[in-house]
Parts: sequence; C-alpha cells; structure tokens
Amino acid sequence: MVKLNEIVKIYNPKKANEFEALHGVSAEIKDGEMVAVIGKSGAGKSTLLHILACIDSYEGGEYYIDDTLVKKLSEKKYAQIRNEKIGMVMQDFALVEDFSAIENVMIPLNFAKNKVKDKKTKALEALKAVGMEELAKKPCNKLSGGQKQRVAIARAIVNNPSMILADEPTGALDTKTSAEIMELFHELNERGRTVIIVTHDPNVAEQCDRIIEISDGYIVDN
Amino acid sequence: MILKYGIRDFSRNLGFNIFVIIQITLVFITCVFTSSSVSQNLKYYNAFADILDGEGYCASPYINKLHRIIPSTEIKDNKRFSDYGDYFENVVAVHQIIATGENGSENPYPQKTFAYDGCLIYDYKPIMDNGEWLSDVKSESNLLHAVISPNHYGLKVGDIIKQEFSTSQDSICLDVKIVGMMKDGAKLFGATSDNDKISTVGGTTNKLTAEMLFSNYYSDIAGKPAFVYNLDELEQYEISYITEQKMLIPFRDNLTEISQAEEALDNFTIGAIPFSQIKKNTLSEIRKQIIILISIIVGLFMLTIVSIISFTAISTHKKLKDYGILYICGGRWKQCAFINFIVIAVDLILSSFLTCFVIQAMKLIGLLNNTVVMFTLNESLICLGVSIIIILVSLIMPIIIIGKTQPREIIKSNE
Ligand SMILES: Nc1ncnc2c1ncn2[C@@H]1O[C@H](COP(=O)(O)OP(=O)(O)OP(=O)(O)O)[C@@H](O)[C@H]1O
Ligand SMILES: [Mg+2]
Repeated sequence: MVKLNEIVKIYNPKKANEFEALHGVSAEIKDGEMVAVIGKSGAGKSTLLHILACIDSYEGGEYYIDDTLVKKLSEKKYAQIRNEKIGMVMQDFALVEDFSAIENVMIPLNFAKNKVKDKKTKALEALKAVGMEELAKKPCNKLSGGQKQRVAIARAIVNNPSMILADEPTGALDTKTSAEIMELFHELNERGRTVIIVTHDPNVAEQCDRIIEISDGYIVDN
Repeated sequence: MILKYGIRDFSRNLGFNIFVIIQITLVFITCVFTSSSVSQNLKYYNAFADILDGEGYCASPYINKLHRIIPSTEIKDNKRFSDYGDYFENVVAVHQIIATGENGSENPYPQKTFAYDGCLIYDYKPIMDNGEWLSDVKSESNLLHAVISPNHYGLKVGDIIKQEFSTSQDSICLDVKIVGMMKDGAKLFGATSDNDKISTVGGTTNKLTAEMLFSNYYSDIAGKPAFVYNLDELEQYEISYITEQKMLIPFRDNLTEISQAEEALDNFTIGAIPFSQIKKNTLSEIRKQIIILISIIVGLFMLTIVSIISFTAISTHKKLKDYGILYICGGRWKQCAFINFIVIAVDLILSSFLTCFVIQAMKLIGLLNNTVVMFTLNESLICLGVSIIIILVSLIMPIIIIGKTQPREIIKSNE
C-alpha cells in the first residue's frame, strides 16, 4: 500500500523560477489496485509519478510505501527501494539503446542488493511474459516501438516489484499495440501487482479500477 | 554491471579511445626513456660518487713530456703513485695488458684489454648480454676470468681459452674463462673506440662529466672485441700492465699539503681537472637532461589531459540518458561516474601493454642499442604516478557533470 499525505512539490525552490507543481496532494492506493492518473498537460501527472517512483523528491507532506516514510533516506536506501519495490515504465521506454533486450531486462537484477542467481533465466522469463523471448538477443535500437515498450515492461517486472508505474505507456503506440500492452498490464494486475498508469487516453483510463484526475497540481477527482 | 557498461562504452567510442591510448603510450614511453636515461647518467656518477666527493683530480698520464707511457714496472705502485710522494690513494684507472698466443705466438684472439679493479668492478656494471659481471664471480686458482664483447671468434660464455701474458720477468700461460658477454656498444670506462668526446676534452676543456669517462665499445668499430679482466686476479700472477687512459687520482684522506700534491701530480699527468668540477658538470648535465625531458613529458601530458578532459565531458553528456536509466532501475547516481573510470582504466591497461610492446619491439629492431632503456621499479612507479593523475583527471568532468545534474532532469528531458 502507498499513501500520499499533503504532498507539495516545488521545482527550483527559492529561485527566480520557483514553481509549485503539486499543492498538497493526498491519495491512498491499495495493493493490487489498478489506477489511472489523468489530467491536462502540465497538470503534474509525471511529477506525481516520479515522486511515487522515488526518482524525485518533494518539499512538503509525507509519502509512505508499506508504512516506510520515504523522505531523507540515504541514496543507497532510495536506490534499493527503486530496485526492489518499483517497476517503472517510462514514456520514451528508457532503454539503453545499444544493449540487447535481455541485457536491458537484466539491469535491475544487476543492481539488486542480494546477488541474483540465474539472471539470464529470470530475464528470459520476464521477456516471455511480455511475448518477447524470441527477440531477447536483438539490440534495442533495432526494435519497433511496441517491442521496446514490451522490453521496458519486462524490465519493470523482472525484479518482482509490488508496484508498477507507467508514464503514458500507450502514448507512442497504435491502437492495436496499445490494446496488447494494456492486456499485459491487466495480466500483471491480476497477478496481484499494483499498477499505476499515467495517461491521456480515456479508453485506457476506463479500463482501470479507479481514476485519479489532477488539474494544476490539485487532485480534483478521485 | 557497471564494469560491463564501461567496457561497452569503451568499444562504442573506440576511435577516440585509441587516440587516448596512443597519447598515454607516448607519455609512458617518454617517462620510461627519461627515467632510465637519468638513472643511467646517475649510474656513471654513482660509480665514482664517493671519490668525486673528496679532493683529487682526473688526469691523463703525461705521455709527451716523458715520451713514454707509465708501465707499472716503472711506477711500481700505481694505486698510490708513491714514487711521486705520499699524496694519492686508490687511483681509479683502466690498465692494459699484453696477451699473446701460447709461447709468444700470434694471438688467435686479438683483443682490446681492459683491466679494472676497485669501483670499476664493484660499483659499475656494463650492460650485459648474458653471463656474469666480474664482481659476481669467485676467483678460481690457475684461471683468469674475463667478460668480453661480441666477437667473430665464436667465443661465448663458459668457453675457456689459453692466453699468454707478459709478466715483469717473463710471461705466463693461463686459462681464461669467459664468464660474461656484454652487449655490443656497452659503455666501458676508458674505452676509446668511438670516443670523440674524451679526446676533445683534452687538457683545457672543463666540461668533463662522469659519463664522458665512459664510451660505447663496439667490437666492429674497434676492430677487435673487448676483454675485461679483474686487475686483482692479474696481480696474483704478476702480470704487467700499463696505464694510458684518464685516471681518477684521489688525494689521501685528510691531506693538508694540497699544493705540493698538485705539483707532484703535474710531474706525471696532463690535463688535470678537479673532482669538484667533474661533480658539478655531471650534476648540472643531469639537471639539464631532466629539465628538457620533463618539459617534453609535461607538454605531452598536458595534451593528453586536455583531450581526456574534453573526451570525458563529451562522453559523459552523451551517456547521461543511460545513467538516468540505470538510476531508475536501482543504480546509484555516483556509481555512474565510475563507468568513466572503467573506460580510462581500460585505456591505461592497454597503453601499458602497448608501451611494453613498443619498447620490446624497439629493442628487437635494435633502435635502443645505444641507450639503456630499462623497465625497472623506478620506471613502473613513475608510470603508475602518471596513471593515477590521468585517472583523477578523467573523473573530474564526470563528477562535475553528474554532480550538477539531478537524475530527474535527465529522465524528464527525455520525455
Ligand atoms: N524541472 C522543472 N522545473 C520547473 N518546472 C517544472 C519542471 N518539471 C515540470 N515542471 C512544471 O511542473 C508542471 C507539471 O509538470 P509535469 O511534467 O508533471 O506535467 P504532466 O502532467 O506530466 O504533463 P504532460 O501531460 O505534458 O506530461 C508543469 O507546469 C511543468 O512546467
Ligand atoms: Mg508527463
């Protein structure tokens, strides 16, 4: 379970270009929920997602993952949370382009605190789950958008995180591929993982259990 | 993981890395040359360091005035020249002996003889090809030891030949065992084969350095190989020897009658140069050498550093996106700076190999016959120091760039 309590995010605090992107956002997402985050461009969706993914810090409020307060932790601890609890799927896939699919999927295993045995097997399993095991050895710069998105998802799930965060996972894909990707998220959700998807697409949002709408840094609908 | 990424990164920028490797190799090679040439120079100086610290003169026997060279039979005590007063001791000189075939026949092994003792045996060792230097062999009865230079006689280490030597009374036939082979061109005290330097030093110039007392000995140029004997062994058999090259003539310890000693010296020598002068010349020569070579190294080093700094700056910028990805997946931001370290470490390792290879190749081709390039502890330490500086420099830009950037900025800038 994750809990956001009056989260305030200020970009460039105490500088001329100071900008408050989130003005006290509170929300609670239970384990196994599938949640869509929607809102206009610039509303603060990505900002919220980055805080949830422990990529970004926040200036006010509290953020709990499973009752751990995520604030002012050591860099090592943050890295460990990102590695173990969170699977992040970025809008632009965020793959190391000249690594092969399987090498990309193995990145989180390589950063794991405890040495992972059979990294290859685990990575292959994750690729199989997204239907990409045949292209495991192909360098990512030779994959199509949909294939890249699958590899990104495989990488997000390989370490068996409890929460999968996706920023516009279908933004760059055609309708058919989008549907397939959403199917994947549904499967993951059915297997008990929390899934949080930032999206513009009302179709995508409708497929989720719950919709959180953000406007200008406030939650307007939950 | 980080290691793998680093190695990937190396091959991604192969061209530039090769450029850096060549630069580092050049720096390494110059360092090795500098260090070994300086230590070589010091080697000549060190052979006489104790002597040159004291009072005394370097001088040649006065041949013209007396129309003779100085045979030991005439002077008797050629370590102290006591005929000329009680002023000198432990004279350092090269002596020649007369060696013939058995029963005075023509010598089947014509040779240029060098008989050394004292510091010339114990504090200096020419570059050897194989075998041992005279200081490393134990004396054996009825046998002389010799270290020789390359020859056409087919003589090699371990061979024993018969030679007859003139003694004060008659002559003596002895076995001579070849215990060591010098490299062709090894430097010998008092050699003259290609020695323009020492002859121009003459009596007036005062540029003489310790190194100039030595000359390269090339068997072919000299027309015959060098045979180096241990004077102490020769003396056991009362073999006569003559002294005709420059000598280092130290004054007795605590000598007070300096001017009398100088007058005495004038009776049998020419072109006396005080030790203090030689010491000064030698040290200033070494200093000059160090300054020239250091400036070359610094120049090359600067170039290398500039290219490494710009290279790492560019490549870090290019890699920031990938670092962002590693960060999302649980990497720590600082770990990413380490990737650059690996790339440079690979560069350094390859440069070291290349350096050894180039030096070895130059040796094989024979480019280094005249010089003594050695890869000893000193050279390795200097290269290690250079490597550490390069590593530190290579980490500056990544640390600055990565330190100034937040992972989120990189991740966002790609959205
Ligand atoms: N690094 C930053 N510095 C200053 N302001 C920023 C920064 N990043 C985002 N913002 C601002 O914060 C607000 C929220 O940005 P965010 O990226 O969360 O929007 P979003 O809802 O994801 O929009 P989109 O749908 O276009 O991705 C925007 O007004 C944006 O200009
Ligand atoms: Mg966004």
